[in-house]
Amino acid sequence: MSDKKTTKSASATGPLVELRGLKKHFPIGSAIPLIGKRKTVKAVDGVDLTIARGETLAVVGESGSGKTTLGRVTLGLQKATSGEVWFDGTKLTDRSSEELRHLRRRMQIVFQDPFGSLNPRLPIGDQIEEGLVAHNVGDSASRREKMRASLEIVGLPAEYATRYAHEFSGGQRQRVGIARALALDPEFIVLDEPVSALDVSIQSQVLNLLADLRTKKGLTYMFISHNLDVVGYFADRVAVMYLGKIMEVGPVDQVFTKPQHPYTIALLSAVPKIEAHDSADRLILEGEIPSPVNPPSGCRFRTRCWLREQLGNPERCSTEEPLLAASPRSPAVSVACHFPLEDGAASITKRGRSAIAAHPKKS
Amino acid sequence: MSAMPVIEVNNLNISFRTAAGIIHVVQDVSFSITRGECLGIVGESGSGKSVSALATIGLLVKDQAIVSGSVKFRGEELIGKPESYMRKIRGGGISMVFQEPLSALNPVTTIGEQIAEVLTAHNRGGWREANKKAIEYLELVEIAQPAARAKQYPHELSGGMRQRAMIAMALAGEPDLIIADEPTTALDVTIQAQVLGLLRRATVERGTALILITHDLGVVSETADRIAVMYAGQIVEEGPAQQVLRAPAGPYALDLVASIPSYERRGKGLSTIQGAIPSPTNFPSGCRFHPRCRFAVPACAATMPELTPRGVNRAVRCFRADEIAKGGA
Amino acid sequence: MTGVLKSFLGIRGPKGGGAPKLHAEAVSESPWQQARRRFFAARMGPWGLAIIGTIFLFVIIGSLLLPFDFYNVPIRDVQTYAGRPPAWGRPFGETGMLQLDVMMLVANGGRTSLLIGFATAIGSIGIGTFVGVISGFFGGKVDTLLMRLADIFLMIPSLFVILVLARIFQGSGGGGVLSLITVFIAFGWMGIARLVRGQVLAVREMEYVEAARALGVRPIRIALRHILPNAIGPIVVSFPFAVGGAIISEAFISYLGFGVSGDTPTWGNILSESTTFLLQGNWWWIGFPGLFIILTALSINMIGDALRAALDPRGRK
Repeated sequence: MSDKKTTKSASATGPLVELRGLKKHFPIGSAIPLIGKRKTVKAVDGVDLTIARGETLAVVGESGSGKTTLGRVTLGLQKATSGEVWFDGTKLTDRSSEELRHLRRRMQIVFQDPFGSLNPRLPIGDQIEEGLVAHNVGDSASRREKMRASLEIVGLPAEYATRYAHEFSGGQRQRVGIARALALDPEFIVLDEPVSALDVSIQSQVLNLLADLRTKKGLTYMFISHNLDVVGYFADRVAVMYLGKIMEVGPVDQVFTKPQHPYTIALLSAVPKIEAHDSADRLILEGEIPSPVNPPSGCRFRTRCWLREQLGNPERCSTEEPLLAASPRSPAVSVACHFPLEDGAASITKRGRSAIAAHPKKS
Repeated sequence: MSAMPVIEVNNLNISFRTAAGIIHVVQDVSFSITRGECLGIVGESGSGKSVSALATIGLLVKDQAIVSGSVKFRGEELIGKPESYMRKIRGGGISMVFQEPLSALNPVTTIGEQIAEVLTAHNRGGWREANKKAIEYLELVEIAQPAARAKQYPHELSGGMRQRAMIAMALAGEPDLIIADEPTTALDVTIQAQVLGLLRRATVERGTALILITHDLGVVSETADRIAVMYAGQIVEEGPAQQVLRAPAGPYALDLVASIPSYERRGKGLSTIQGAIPSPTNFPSGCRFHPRCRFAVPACAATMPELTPRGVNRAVRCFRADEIAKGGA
Repeated sequence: MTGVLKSFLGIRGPKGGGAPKLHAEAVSESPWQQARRRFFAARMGPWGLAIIGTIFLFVIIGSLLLPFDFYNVPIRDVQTYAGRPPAWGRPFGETGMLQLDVMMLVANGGRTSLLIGFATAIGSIGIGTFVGVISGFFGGKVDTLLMRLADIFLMIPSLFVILVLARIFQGSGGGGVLSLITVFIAFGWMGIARLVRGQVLAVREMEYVEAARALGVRPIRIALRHILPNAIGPIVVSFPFAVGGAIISEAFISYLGFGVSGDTPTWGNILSESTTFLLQGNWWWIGFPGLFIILTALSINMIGDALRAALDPRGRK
C-alpha cells in the first residue's frame, strides 16, 4: 500500500484515517505584522499517511520531529496550517468546530502525562462520564453504567469512581485516561506516549491492556512514541519522523529488519539493548537536531547523515528534497532518501558501514 | 577486587521526617567501587536509588533526613562530617551529574564561568587560568567550537550540549568518583548514545569511578560493569551487569527483564508484574516484593530475606533463588 | 460549584460503600477538603479566625447595644476636658472634647470600617475576576483591550485621585462611605484581574482541559467546570488581604481627613481626632481604635497566610 495520494474512499474498505500534505506551522514572535516572511516553527511540514481500520500505526521520532503535533492535528485539536485530514471518508479539515465536536465521539486520545491529564478537583467517575454527557448519550443512569463498565474494562474497581486523581498511582491514572477515552466507544484512538511516563514494571501492564482492548473492540491506533522497543513490540506499521517529515514508513517487520533510511538505521542502532555486546559497533550520529524554524535545504537529515559522509557528500542531498516513495524491492515500505539502503540491517554494525563506503551504491 | 575501593558504603539507612511521621526510605544498602569501575544502580520510582546517592555526598536536608551507616571515601568516614568538609569533597572528590541540566545549571552565568568556578573552588588555578582550562574541558566532552560555547548561557545550548557541559563540570574537579543520576533520561535516544559513550570513555581514561543511576536496563547493561538492583529501598540483587541482566537470580529482576517490550518479543504476550510499587509508609511485611512475586510462599511474608552471596561476585535477596534457578515456581 | 462549597465547609454527601483503601488515609478527599484540613491543622488559620470572629462579635453586639447618635451629646464635664481614662463602666475610657464613650465609638466605627473593607474586597475581586476570566478565556483583541484598560488604571497615581475624589464626594451618601467604597473598587480591581488572567491562561494549557476538548465538551462547560475551579485558588487567598488592605487604606485616608466625614465614625477618623489629645495624656482614645485596626489586620493576614499554605499544591499532605 503506497502512501501517495489516493482517491477519496467513502466505503468501509478504505483507510480509516488519511493525512494528505498535512502541515502545521507555529508562528513565533510578536503579533505585529512584519515586513517579509514571519518566522515559523515547522512542526509538521508535509505529511502523507494512511491508517487502515484495525491497524496500529506507530509514529516514531525524537524531539523536534513533530510527532506530538501530528497527533493533535489529526484529531483537530489544533488547526492544520494546510493539507487535509480524512476520517472515514469525511474531510475533517473542512468541518466547523461544532461539526468537529460531534465527530469526537468516534476518535479519542490518551495523553502522555498521567498527572496533568486529569482534573484534580473532579472525581474521576465524573471525568470518565463527561464525554457521554457532552454528547447526550443515554440518560443519567445508563451513563453511570457505561462509566462503571469502562472502569472495569481497564481493570479498576467501579467503586473508585468517587475518588480523586491524587489518590491514584501513575499507572492507575493512565488507566483512568484510557477508560475516559473508551467510554464513548470510539473507533480510532491516538495514543500519545501512553507508557513513557510510567515505571517499567507498570508499562507492560498498560501495554497488555491496550493490546487486549485492540483485539476486543477492533480499535485503530495511532501510537506516538520515541521508544523504538515499545513500537517494535506493539505496532503493525511504523512511520519514522524527522523534523516534520516522514523519512520511512512501512510494516514493522520490514522496517525493523531491513531498514532503508539512514536515520532509521541510526535510531535502531542507538537504542541500548541488554543483548547488545559491542557498543563500539553502535552508530553514533554527529551533531544536534537542527532547529525546526530553519530545516536544512534539500534533504533535512543531511546535516547528520552518516551515509552521506560515506558516499562522499553527494550534491543531490543538499539541492533536491527526496520524496517519500515506495521502494521498488519492498513496495509496502516507502522511503524518503536519494540513496536508500538495500540491506540496512548490515549497516548497524561498523563493518557493514565500511563495506558501504567501499562499494557505494550509484543512484 | 584487590584494589582499595574508592568508596565503600555499608549499611546505609535513610529515613525522612515528615508530617506523617518518620518513614524509612532506604534500608541496609551496601556497595563499593574501585578505580575506573562503573556501578549501575537500577530501580524504579520509590526504590531509593537517588536518595542513596544524594546521601553519600551529604546533599540531603539535615533537618528532614536521618542518615546512618557508613560511607567511607578514600578511607575517610563521611557520615557525620561537617558541611565545610563535605563542601571540599564535592566537586573535587565526588561530583554529581543530574538529570535535568537546565535546572542544575545556573541560568545567569556562562557555562565557561561555571566550569571555571569548579576549578577555582578546588584550587586548580586562578581565575584566568581556570577560564582557559574550562575550554579544554569543553573540548574533552566533544562540544564543537568550545571557545565560543564557553561564552554562552545554558539556555542557548541544546539539551545534549547542556548535559555535556554538566559532565565537563563534573570532570573539571578531577574527582575520584562521579555520581550520575539519570543523566540521559531527558535526552533523545541518538543524543543519549553520544553522551553515555562520552561519559564512559572519560571515566575510563582517567580511572574515575562512576555510579550510574537509572531505571533503563538497556543503558546500564551497556555502560556498567556491575549493577545493583534496588526495590522499595533495598538492594535485592547485585553482580556483574551482563550476568545479572541475562540471567537474573531474583524474582524481581527476572520479571522486570521479562516485561520489557522489544521487537524480538513481538507476538508473544508481555509478562507483567502485577500490583504496584509499595509506598514507604506501607511496606509489606517480610520480603517487600512478596505481594507481587509469583514465587512467593508463606515464609516470604513472615521474614525479611537477607542479601546472600550466590556464585562468584553475585548476591540476591530471596529465599527461593535456588528454585528460581531451576526454573520452578 | 455548590458541590465545591459544600465540600469546603465539610458537608459530606453519601459515600460509595465498601471501597478498598488506596493509601493509608481512610477517607477520600477532594482537593477542597484537603485544603480545609490543612487550614485547620496549622495553628495560624484557626487563631486568625478566632480573633476576627471576636472582633466581629464585638462590633455587631457593641453597635447594637451602644448605638451612635450624632445628635445626642452628653453633658460636658469641664474639668475633664481631655476625657476620663478607662474604669469600670467605661472600659475603653472617654474621648476628649465631647466625652463620648470610646467603646461605643470603636464598636460603631468598626461597623463602618469592616463594611468598607468587605464591600471593597467583594467588589474589586468580583470585577477583577470577571475581567480576568474574560481576558484569559477569549484572548486576542478582547484580552489586549482589557489589559490596556487595567494598565491605564494602574498608571494613574491612585493615592492622589482617591484623596481628591474622596474629598469631593465626602458628605454625600452616608458620610461618603459609598463613594469611598466605589473609589476603592475602581482602583483595586486591576491586580486581581491580572492574577486571574494569569491563572486562566495557565490552566487553559493544562492537559485535562485539552482532554475535555478532545471528548467533545462544549467550551462553556469547559470554562465553568475545568478552568474556573482550578483558577480561583489565588482569588481565595487574595480575599482576606483585600479586606485588610481596604481597612488600612480607609484608616489612612480618613486619618488624613479625606475619607468618611465625622458624622459617621470609622476607626480612621476616630484616630484623626484623637491624635492631638495624645499630648494631653489621653492614650485610650487613640489606643483602642488603633489596637483594633492592628488586630484586624493581623488576624486577616494570618488567615490569608494559612489559606495560601493550605491551597498550595506543592504542600505535603
